[in-house]
Amino acid sequence: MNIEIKSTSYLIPNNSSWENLHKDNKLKFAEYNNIFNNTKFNQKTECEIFVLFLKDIIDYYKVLNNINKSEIKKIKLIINFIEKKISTYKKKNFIISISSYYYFNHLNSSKNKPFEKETEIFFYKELYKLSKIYPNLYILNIDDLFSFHGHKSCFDERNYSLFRCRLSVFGLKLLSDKLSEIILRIKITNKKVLLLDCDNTLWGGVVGEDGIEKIKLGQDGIGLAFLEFQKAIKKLQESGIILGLVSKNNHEDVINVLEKHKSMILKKKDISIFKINWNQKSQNIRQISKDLFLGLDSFVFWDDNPIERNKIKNEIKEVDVIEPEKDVSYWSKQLLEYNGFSKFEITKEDYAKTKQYKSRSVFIEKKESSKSEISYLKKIKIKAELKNIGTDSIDRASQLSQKTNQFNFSTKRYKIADIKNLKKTHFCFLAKLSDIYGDHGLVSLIILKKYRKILYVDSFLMSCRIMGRYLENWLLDQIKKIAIKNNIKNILFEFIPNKKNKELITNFIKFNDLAKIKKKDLFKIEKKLNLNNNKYTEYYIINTKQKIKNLEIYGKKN
Amino acid sequence: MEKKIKFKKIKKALKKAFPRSKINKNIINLKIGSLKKWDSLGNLDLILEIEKEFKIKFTIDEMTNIKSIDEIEKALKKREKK
Repeated sequence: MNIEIKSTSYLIPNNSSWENLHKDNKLKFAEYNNIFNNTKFNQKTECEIFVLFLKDIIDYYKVLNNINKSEIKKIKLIINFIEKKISTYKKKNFIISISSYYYFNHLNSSKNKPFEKETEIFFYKELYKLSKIYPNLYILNIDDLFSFHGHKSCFDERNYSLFRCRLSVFGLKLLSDKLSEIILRIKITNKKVLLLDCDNTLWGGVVGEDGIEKIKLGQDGIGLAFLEFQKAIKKLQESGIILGLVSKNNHEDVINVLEKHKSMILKKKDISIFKINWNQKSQNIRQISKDLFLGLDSFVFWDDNPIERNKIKNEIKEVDVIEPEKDVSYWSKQLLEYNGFSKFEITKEDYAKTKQYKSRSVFIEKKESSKSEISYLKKIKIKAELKNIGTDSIDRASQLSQKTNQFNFSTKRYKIADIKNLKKTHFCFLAKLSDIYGDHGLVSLIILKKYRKILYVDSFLMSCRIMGRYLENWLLDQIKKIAIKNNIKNILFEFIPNKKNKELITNFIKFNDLAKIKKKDLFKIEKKLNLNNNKYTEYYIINTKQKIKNLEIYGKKN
Repeated sequence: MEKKIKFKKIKKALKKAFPRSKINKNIINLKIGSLKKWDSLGNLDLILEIEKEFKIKFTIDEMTNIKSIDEIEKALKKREKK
């Protein structure tokens, strides 16, 4: 990223503290105390960082009696300048970092609110107003950042006297590291799932051996530390992070604690994923990734057992395995300070997503636990419906075609205009689905073309969110019915394999006994076929007489 | 501190302050202007690296007066005596 740094103070551009930021970015420092100037490299800059010291802006020595309007005006000017910039360059990112550090006189401020404090509060209030309006604005509170190490080691008065740098080299390094973390998060999205062990992670002791009464949770000592850790987890969950338990344990024991232990902060409803069994944890995690259609790189793994941690580290490199502090008391702090989950915006969609994943994993869990998959699916009242593409649904049709990867036979990407054209010569359908887990909306797109002896499936795709309901079989049956209506005996599927669609489509082909056919044999049946030239394309045929499995889920009508 | 180790550390700081400059084996005679980037600003970079390397803090007077490796060495010596 091209970054420009502007500050009211000299920031020692050549100092090795900036190494981290230099590594992945192109860094330019503007002349210091010249923040209002638009420099030449403006156009290329993707991110502008402001490092502001209120001390450099406001003449505190002039301020008497806690009222000074001209000084507040200066802050207003800066806010206006920032807003103007942010609103003009919406594609650029802006990081505003501020320090309002001043010399305390605690005796004075024991009675009177210092003016410095007031300006600070005013500045932040105005800035956070802006950050709500403009997604490209980020704020960093330098004083909070320094508070852990102390002002004494982060600021340096000598450096100011010598070369107008407010910070010590150590403070500079902290600032540069935090800035590079923010920039990294702008580039890479956050983790989505926190996978937790149970025994000695959520509580002290082993529930299977000690029993629910004797696990350590809530009481003073280590029990309180585990409680605090659970509070931190709950806070993440509230912000939209998905929680999963991956534990070698008896399922009932853990559920028992979740439901009955009075000190538990985490309840059963907070957890989206339960993998409590005696399988290898890596195997469980891969399964979760498959079930939820989430990449392995969106998982974070927290386990007290170093052997389990090492296994995951070696077997699934994408998963972020956390090394917990030795003392459980620090876990809560460690988790909340962990950057992987931090995201800049929590939108309504985030909450909806958590809900979606929850309902999906509940669906999968119940399906697996019920004795017969089919009888379970019959119970959840699945309703499917085929719909023609109308003006109100054509954009959804195009969206499905553009975005669906895994269950997609040909991965042909159609824009709205393409689908409008196809509608003139092809049969085009969308499928709608609902069940007791909710109305899933339009989840599938099918495009068919009739030749004399063959019904050619140009596109057959389905959203992965609803996998497991055998909707694909119902759709296949619908295609069959269209073929019968048109007096066609054979349906031709074109499968263009790639990394993403290979697994699901191959399974579908096997499950429904689709017969592979060579291109040249195809032309013996139907000469007019207009097929693509991709040499990896495979062709499959199904006869309309063939029976399709599992349709009973969809009731007798279908 | 042994002289050898001291100069090794000073050299390390020199390399950090001026990563693009070639630094000779013998550094004792180097001073401001000896290297391309060693101007008055570069001088500050160097002294800050020296502080970091030796985990010390120079006074404001020292910082304004130090202009060569020789002076750095003397300032360090003074500290050892204390």
